[in-house]
Amino acid sequence: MPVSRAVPWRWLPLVAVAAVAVSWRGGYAANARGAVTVLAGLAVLFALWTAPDATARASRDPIVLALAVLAALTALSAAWTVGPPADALRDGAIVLAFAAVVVAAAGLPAPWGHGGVLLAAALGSALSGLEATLATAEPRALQICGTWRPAGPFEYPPTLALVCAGALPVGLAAASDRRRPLTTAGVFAAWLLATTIALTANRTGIALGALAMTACVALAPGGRRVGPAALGVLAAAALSTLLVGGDLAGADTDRVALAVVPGLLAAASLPRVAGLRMAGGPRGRWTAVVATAALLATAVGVLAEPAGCGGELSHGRIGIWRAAVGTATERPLQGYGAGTFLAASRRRQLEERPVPTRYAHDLALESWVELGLGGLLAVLAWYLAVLRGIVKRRRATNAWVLIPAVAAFPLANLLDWPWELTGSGVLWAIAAGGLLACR
Amino acid sequence: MEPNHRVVLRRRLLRAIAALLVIGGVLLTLSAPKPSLVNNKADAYGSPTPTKPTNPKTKADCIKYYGTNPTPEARECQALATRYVAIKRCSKKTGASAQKACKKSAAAAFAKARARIAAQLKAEKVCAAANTSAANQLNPEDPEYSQKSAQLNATLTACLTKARG
Repeated sequence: MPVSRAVPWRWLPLVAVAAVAVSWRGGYAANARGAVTVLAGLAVLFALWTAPDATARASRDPIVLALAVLAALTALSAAWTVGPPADALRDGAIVLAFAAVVVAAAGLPAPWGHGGVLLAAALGSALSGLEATLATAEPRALQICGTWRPAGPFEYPPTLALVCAGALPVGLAAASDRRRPLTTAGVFAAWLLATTIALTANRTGIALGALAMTACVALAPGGRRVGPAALGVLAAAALSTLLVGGDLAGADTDRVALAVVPGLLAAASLPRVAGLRMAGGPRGRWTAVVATAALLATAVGVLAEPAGCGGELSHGRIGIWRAAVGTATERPLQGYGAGTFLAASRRRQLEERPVPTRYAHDLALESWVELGLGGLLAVLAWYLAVLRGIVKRRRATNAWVLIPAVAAFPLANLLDWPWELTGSGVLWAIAAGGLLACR
Repeated sequence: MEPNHRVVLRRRLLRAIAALLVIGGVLLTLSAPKPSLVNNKADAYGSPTPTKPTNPKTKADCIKYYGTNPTPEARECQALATRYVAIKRCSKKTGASAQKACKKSAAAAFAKARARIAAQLKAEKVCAAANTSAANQLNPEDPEYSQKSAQLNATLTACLTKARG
């Protein structure tokens, strides 16, 4: 018998999946992935019990079907892999778990609960990363190019930035709410997320944060004043980052304390500004203003990178991609098997860089190398399905809160490897499930 | 009736997939390899080969390369790190005589540590020599070969533990 939609404990299985996936070292290790797989299965069983119709309906969505095909192909590659077959089964299970989380999340009322999970995970990760940065403690903060950067439980700053970027619209939604306590908390949360993104000094992360803010302003309904909130948060975060010189660990205690002031000022003053109706105006104009400011922030982030850090502009990606294409064309149809990118491309990578990397920094290319043509097509189908889902539901009630998170993860996977950090994948799956539930 | 039948089938399929995830997940967790000791970023990008610390500044620098096993090389490294810390502390002292006394005490402590390391090295050499000579006397054809070999290894471990204090 379906249980009432308002029961908060219906969220428990999904919250458990997200908590384990994020807090257990970002879900990177094989044991964490196994635990997430179990919890994802339980979440689907629970969703079938509480919301059978919505769950069954979501399982027919192209996003879920594309993931299911990719999972099957990944697991089947155990038959021809050049690596350990257990790795292929493990990878297949986690892709199926992503599909399961999408289905389970689609059975819950959207989007505020989904947004709440994204915001809580991002804030927890950001605070953990910032604390470790101040304490210069690995692995939740990492020393890169001479500065300590927050990495959070993901132990990788770009993925922390991605998770924060995905949750920014939730903070901005609260910041543009009519209820004053929620507005203040929302502004402060959004400032914390934006500042964390800036302190990771990751160009892709900053660009995704900028895109998330702009998309949020462009898609939000006319009655909400997201534009001024976004601009205020952006300015406060930029000022805080400048106050610590972009290096939280290198700044003295007074400067760190001073860097919190812009966030507190924004939280205290922005709700008043909105209340005075100074912040009104056409949405298009606000979108242009926020987009310009966000573009400026991204440009500063790119230019502020220390010279000689990470090599050329692509940080060695072009070499990895060249090696990936070369490796894939040697076995274009069947691939080398899931989880074998490093083993398959080691020789070619060594021609391009001194130390080979485990991942291709492009999900489509990695799938082509590992799963052959079928894998490449399955990943492309997933990208198309996500795009279709976003376009189809862009006008759905409050879908604008989740759309940036749903779009940011596939975009990041074009240049990086957040797919391998199950925590970020689970958060995307929750957002995608929430989007499917938006009507 | 057809749509209902499809819905029922779909729910059954979803239940089966969920059960597969639960059971498969348990098996995968139980059989999971040990997680990497380095951070996720280092695991993904491949850590460069650790270099031998020539001027260690902290004991952690030594542990990174030698691990926690108290071998003579590791102790030598730790003694160098201790001397570095002690000399740094001396430079903060006020007065030339106080600094001189502090540095003298640091040098004495370092000399004492090196003497202990030399004694350990000598004792370990004796252990290794005794083990080699005993191992040479073993006959692989002996039916009790594996038992005797294990006993020899245990004796070597005990000897090394004693030598390392």
